[in-house]
Amino acid sequence: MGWMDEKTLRDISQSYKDNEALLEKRLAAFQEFQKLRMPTMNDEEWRYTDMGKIKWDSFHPRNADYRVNIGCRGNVYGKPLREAVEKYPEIIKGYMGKSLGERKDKLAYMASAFWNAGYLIYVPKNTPIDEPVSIEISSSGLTLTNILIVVEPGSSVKVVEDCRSSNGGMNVGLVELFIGDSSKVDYYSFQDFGPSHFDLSLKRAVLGSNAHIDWNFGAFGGSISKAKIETFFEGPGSSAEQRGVFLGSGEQHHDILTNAFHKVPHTTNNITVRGVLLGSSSSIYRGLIRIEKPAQQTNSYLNEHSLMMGEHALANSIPSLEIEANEVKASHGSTTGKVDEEQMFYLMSRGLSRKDAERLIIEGFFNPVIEKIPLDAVRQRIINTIERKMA
Amino acid sequence: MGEEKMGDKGKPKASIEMDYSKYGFREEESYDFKSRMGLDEDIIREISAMKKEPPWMTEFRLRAYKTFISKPMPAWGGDLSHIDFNNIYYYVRATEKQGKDWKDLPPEIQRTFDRLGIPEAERKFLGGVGAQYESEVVYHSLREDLAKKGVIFTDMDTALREHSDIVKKYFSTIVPIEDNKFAALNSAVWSGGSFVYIPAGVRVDVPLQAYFRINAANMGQFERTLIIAEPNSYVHYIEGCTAPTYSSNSLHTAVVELIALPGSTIRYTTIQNWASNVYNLVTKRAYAYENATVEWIDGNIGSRLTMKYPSVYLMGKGAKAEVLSVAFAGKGQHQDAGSKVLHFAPYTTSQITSRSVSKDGGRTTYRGLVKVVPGAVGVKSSVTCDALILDEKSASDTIPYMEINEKDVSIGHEASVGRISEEQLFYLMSRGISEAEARTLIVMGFMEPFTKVLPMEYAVELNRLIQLEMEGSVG
Repeated sequence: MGWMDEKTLRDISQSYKDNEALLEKRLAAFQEFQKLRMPTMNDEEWRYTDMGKIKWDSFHPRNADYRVNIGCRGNVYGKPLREAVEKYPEIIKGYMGKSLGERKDKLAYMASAFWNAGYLIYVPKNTPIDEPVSIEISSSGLTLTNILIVVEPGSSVKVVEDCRSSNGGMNVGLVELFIGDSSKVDYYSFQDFGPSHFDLSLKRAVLGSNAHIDWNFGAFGGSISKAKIETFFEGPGSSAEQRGVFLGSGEQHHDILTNAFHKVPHTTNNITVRGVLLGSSSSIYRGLIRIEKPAQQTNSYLNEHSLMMGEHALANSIPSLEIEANEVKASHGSTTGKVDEEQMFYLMSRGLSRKDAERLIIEGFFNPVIEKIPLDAVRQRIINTIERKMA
Repeated sequence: MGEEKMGDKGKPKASIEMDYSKYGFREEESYDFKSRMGLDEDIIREISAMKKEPPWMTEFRLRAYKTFISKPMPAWGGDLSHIDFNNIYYYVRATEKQGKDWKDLPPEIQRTFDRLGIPEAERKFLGGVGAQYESEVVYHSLREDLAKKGVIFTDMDTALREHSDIVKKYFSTIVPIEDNKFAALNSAVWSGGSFVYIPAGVRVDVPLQAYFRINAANMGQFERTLIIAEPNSYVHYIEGCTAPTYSSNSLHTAVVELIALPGSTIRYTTIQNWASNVYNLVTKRAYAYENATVEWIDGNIGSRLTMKYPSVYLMGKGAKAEVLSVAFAGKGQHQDAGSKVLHFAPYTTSQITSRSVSKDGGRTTYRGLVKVVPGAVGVKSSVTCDALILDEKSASDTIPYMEINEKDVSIGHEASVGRISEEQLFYLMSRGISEAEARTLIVMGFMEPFTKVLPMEYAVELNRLIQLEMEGSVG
């Protein structure tokens, strides 16, 4: 399809002066990319998302105007891949693309092969990092990002990812996170692309023994925004807390997946997602909790709540459970509804306008998730964005 | 509950008298007619001719056959790969005439239904009974007082002949041929099934029952049921199904269409206990009009693979849907069941409750849909799914779809999967009950929302079935 061929890949690789090792990685990803079909609405995962809106041929990786800034202090390493491959060749070789082998995703391979912005964030053993690492992505045109984060055992780090754009463009983003034994990562993803932007992102975390990840995401922008967050519990004792909010307005479409794959015993997972749909926006929320046979003593929970405020809003939600072990606790809950008229009346009878009352209720609706977001700056940014969108 | 007797090594032995041969027996085949194996247009014309059907039905069947061949197998759900459509008898007629008295039936059929307890049940408390053996309904009766009120309860073939205008009006309007591959198959080769018509304002207080039995090996049973409840009427229809166990597979593909006109109530109870070689692929759908209520009470105990999602389309204001689904999957079984409720009108409500138990490597899947279209304001829906997995070999899935296109609604869904609570076990065992007994009690309590809405005989029977399934499962 258009530019998605080996020639373009080699051109990109050359123009970024990749060394042999990086080119090899690109080609390996490209091979896998070739084996998969482009998703269509006939595929279960894309049933509710209108792919027709995305005109792939109108984009080209050469036409990308992006800025990706990585800010980090202390003993954490954060540099573009072309530098990182010289300093940590074994890390790149051992980890890049490793999480993509199961439940293969064509767009993830697209990013892994054609990336024009690639970074390695590396935290050595026994190194707790206090200052958050920030990743700022602002783009127009087609940006394919490939971010590899490797945290060695006994360490911890916070990563804040901030995505914006002003023009309509497309972002195909891949983040692979490998968390070593007894390490902890707090990941914050704040997405506020422009209203005509397409954002298709996949983030995968692979957890070692007793490792922990704290996912926090806020999805606000984009014409179509696909936020796929998958957590693989590969080490016993690993755990995850996942929180997210999304706010759709106008004709936006939010496609959110939070999947948890429990493969070993004694893991815990708790997912909470809340979304508000204004105007004619739509959402599809999927949350799969899959517990394999060996994963006894798993506790995995999910709950999702959507508040529909727009006259023509559409909320789809499919929380699912695939359980093959019996000594587990797994449950999920999902609700969809509108603003409680009684609450509105209460507030309006205190002199607030309807608009203000609505805003207050929505803030209250999001609050149980937002108040648990550990990083002040991110929490505040999310609150500000919500207020801006509601105005 | 059976008494506990301690066996040799102190292992408790339940002395429940029930033995599975109640269902597992089989009779010699001495049939009046058996079509050749496999399916083609000739066989379909043959079936239609034997039934002396009007041309529009023959046309309908042939159209359906073309649709059946052109549709692909579903790419989701259970494992359908071992179905060999060429290795099935699509029409078997055991006896030429239909009986109105049990004595009229050929001895082997009488024996079958005697062993299953049907005549007795009828004597005791049913309003009417239809019994289908292989492809045809062999026995039918309806209580006189109901017949006087204008209630029609007959088999589908008879209805096509004697009440053709009503049948033609509603047949296939709820489940069209193109709906899915198996509805198309049923539309092509359907035989037997029930036709129920309740005139306006009539309340049928005692249940109408139908019983379906497959006897021959490699048999396909394709019953077609149509129930029409005129405004403000009430009916409760119960169906049970069994078959003996063979090593080859049988296929049961039924289509059930329910029309609940304004203000009426239809309650449809199924206790499915097909043998473990039967593929049970069923399309059941109801239209509920203004202020009407449809209740699906769906119990799935048997079969190798069941794929069944009783649905209700809520077409008029104030219509209600209630679905109570229980599934029990033992060794080699997959119960892929659930429900679909589509809210097409405002102020409609739905409640779906699903309870499932899997053991010995069985798998239960809940697959459901709640859909609300724009304009359907004031909708309330709640779905609750609970699953018990009794051992490490078994599995359970829950895949609920919610497609909500109207903001002025209240939709909730919750599901949980887990094992029998250690606390509950401890409590019962500390009262002197063995572990096996305690587990059985807990599972029966888990299924209680279902058993309590069954007429007593059925509840007792179902409890016995569950106890039987639980036998030998410790830990």
